[in-house]
Formats: sequence, C-alpha cells, structure tokens
Amino acid sequence: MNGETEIHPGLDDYLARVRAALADLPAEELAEVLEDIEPHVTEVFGEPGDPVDRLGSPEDYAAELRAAGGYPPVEGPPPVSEHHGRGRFVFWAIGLTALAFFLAAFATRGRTEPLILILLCLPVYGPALWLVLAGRVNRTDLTELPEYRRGKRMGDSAVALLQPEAIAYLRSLRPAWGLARLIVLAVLFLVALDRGPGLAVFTLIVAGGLVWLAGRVKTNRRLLAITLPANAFVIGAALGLVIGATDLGRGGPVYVNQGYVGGGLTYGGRPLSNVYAVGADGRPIEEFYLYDETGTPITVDYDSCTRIDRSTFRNRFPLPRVTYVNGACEMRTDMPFVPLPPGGGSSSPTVSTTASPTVSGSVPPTASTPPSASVTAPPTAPVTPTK
Amino acid sequence: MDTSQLLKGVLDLAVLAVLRNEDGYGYDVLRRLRGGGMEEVGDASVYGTLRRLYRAGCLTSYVVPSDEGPHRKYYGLNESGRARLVESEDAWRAFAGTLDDILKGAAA
Repeated sequence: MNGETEIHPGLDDYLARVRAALADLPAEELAEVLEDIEPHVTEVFGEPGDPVDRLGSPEDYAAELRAAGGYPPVEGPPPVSEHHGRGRFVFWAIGLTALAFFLAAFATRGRTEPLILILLCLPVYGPALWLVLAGRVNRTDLTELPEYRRGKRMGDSAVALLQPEAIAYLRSLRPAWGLARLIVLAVLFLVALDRGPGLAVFTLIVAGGLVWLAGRVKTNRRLLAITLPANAFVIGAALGLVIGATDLGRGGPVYVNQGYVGGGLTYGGRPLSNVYAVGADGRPIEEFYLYDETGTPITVDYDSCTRIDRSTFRNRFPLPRVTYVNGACEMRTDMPFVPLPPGGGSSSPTVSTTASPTVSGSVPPTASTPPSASVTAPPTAPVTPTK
Repeated sequence: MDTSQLLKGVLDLAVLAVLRNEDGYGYDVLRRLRGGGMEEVGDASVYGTLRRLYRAGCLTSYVVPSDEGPHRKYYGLNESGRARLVESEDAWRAFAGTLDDILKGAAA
C-alpha cells in the first residue's frame, strides 16, 4: 500500500476520512468494508481524471455506502462538532497570522513599522497557538472543516495542473528551501540593520525559530502552527527584497560611488551624485535650490559626516561632498572641477589643477565614469529628478 | 431524467444478476453493471449493496491474493442467492409488465 500512496497524493487521506466516517460500524464489518473499498479507491486514484469528481468527497462516499449497505444512519451531526468551533478559530487565526507575517515581511523594506501587522494578530494567534500546542485542538478538527476541505481540493487541483516533472522538480527543491530561507532572512537582517533595529531583532528570532523547529516539526505536526507563519514571513521577505531590488532604478534608494542619493537624480538614465551651476560670468554659484515644474523642492538624501544632517535644505545644491582629510571627515561644497565659461570652449576638455576635464552642463565624474567619457549633451539638457 | 432513484430499487437484482455466471470482486461487479448500461450507478452504492447482500446470506466471499496490488475479495452467489435472484427476477418481470400496461393504458 505504501508504494501506492506515494504515487497517488491524497489517497491515504481519502481512505482515512472514509474510515472515520464509518467508524461507528462494528469493527468486524468495518474491516470487511475496508477490504472491499481500499483496492477500489486505490484503483480509481490510479485512473485518469479527478477521483473526487467521480467518487465524491470521502464523507459522501461513506454516506452512499452506508445507505446502500443498509447500515444505521449516523446519529446526529458527526462527532467532530464538539471541537468544530475551536477548529475553525484555530484555522482562521493561523491563516490570518500567516497572511500578516507575509504582508509585514513583504512591506517592510528594512523598516520595523510594518511589523505592527504581526502585533495586531497576536490577540488571536496567541490563543490559537495555545489551543494547538496544548492539544485542545486536533488535526481532524481542522481537516474536517468545510473551508479546509475546499481549500485543499483547490490546492490539489492546482497541483494536478502541473506536469509530473514539475512536481518532482519542486519536491527535489524541498531540502534547499531550508537553506534558502535562512539566506533570505540573512539578507533581510542586513538591510534591517541600517533602517530598523526592531526588524533586525525580529528577523533573528524568526531565523532561530526556524532552525530550532526544522527537525522537530517532522515528528510533531502541531509545530506547524509556528512554522507556517514563519515560512510566510520568509516568502513575503523574499518577494519584498526582489521587488525592492528591481525598484532601484525607478526611484528607490540608490547607492552610487560617491555616497547615498535617495530619491535620486538621473541624467540620461544614469544616477547623478551631484549638480553644479555656473553663472553667466563663468563663476560657480555656490548655493542654489532646485524645484520641479510644480514648485516642489527636489530633495535628495545625501551622505554627511554626522549621518543625521539630512532633514534640512535637502534641495540645496551643490550637495556637500564628504571627503576625508587625514582621517577626518569634512563636508565640502566647492566644485571638484574648474568650469568653462558658458558658450566658451564648447566641448574641448580643459586641463585644470583640481580635477578633470569638463563639458558645459556635465556632471562631476564618478569612479565608474572616466572623465574623458563624460557626457557631451548641451548645457540646457534637463536634469530629471526621479522620486 | 435522473434515474438514480429508479436504480436504487433494482440494484440488488442487478448485482445478483451480474454475479449469476461468474464470481467477481467489487470493481468487477461495478464494471459489469456499467458495461450493461447502468452508467449512473455509484461506486459506493455497489459496495454497500454487496455488503448488504452478503449479510443477508445471499453471497459467499473469499479473498484472492494478488501479486500486483492489494488482494481482492471476490463475491459469488450461494444457493440462497440464486433462489433470491429467481424470486426477484420474477417479481421484477411482473412489476415491469404491470407498469408497462399502465403506461400503455395511459397513452391510449
């Protein structure tokens, strides 16, 4: 039988539920009935098509057999009703909590605040977890729920749509999932270190919990009540990190060589780390403020020596550059190049003492962009802020 | 028309009939019924009926081990079963004839 059940997912479960629905029959008669129907159900599961479509739910199957066999009808509602309420509470509480873990992890982007979603679920998750771990709710209290069965049937038919090769491949990935989720949590931890210490701590707890539970959950299925939300957290975090990473080019925080430019300015699709202005007389304008066409300040986060000087005048340009002189951090706003007077030397590079050849309207060179390759666009070319 | 209600009344007779010449296990019986045109007969109904006829003493059963899968339990008619089949068959023919007459009378 074991070989059969491995080939046909759901067979074991189906037979167990038929058995449970007929449990009131005399033991001898029940054994006889099972001897008939086990080979039959096994065979039907091996045939093409959905076995549940053909046989009905295990409970329907048992009811039909009971009626045709002239067995006494079940008295009152099925025995599970005793824990029905609890089972339903646990089912929805854990489902909701898993969803909260998923959403919080997905939305966190390294910040602690979204974890409040998880906090909001604690009043239902706590009691539900207690009911499960204390043995007040059993597996059948959940599996007998109509919503569980409906969900499982939908899941099963979704799996049935996959090619057998795809299922086998996904199965083979299962051991890797144990490692992959730790990697996801490690990345999230690193991201959180900078922006959300609370999240960093929480991530460590989840990682520790998963490691601790990994071996135990195989022998104690009740622990699924913990691993389910934890895994939802990992999946949410993974999706959030992937989407966060692909957002980088579209206005997410951008790391460039000269430091952090959040919100970001780009020119020709290339992130800018600074903007300089030169007056008609060819002299640098030491302080100016940038606005977009609606009058909204074009604010940019920038590196500073103290790491806190980010709140005021973030649309004041040129942005201070962080330089290190003899190991001491200094903020400088002077130009790292000598500008040509507007309309003067067009695009021929000027040798200067401070830095690099320049082009009117160009940007300061970065390490990744050699000076000789600087942009040769006209001085009037727009600098597009991206938010 | 949904014939499942009609089927219920005659399933005993049909099961006894398909076992008349050859013993069979549950799925055998089911296939013979479906092959004979009883497409709508439910899987579980056949198994329930077999068990009820067995308990009523109409059937014998024996287990045949199988190399390929789980062993199979065969059912066959005993003397009591054969007598019941003859009896039921007569009753059915009489009943069907009566109903036929009623239907013809109603149509005329």
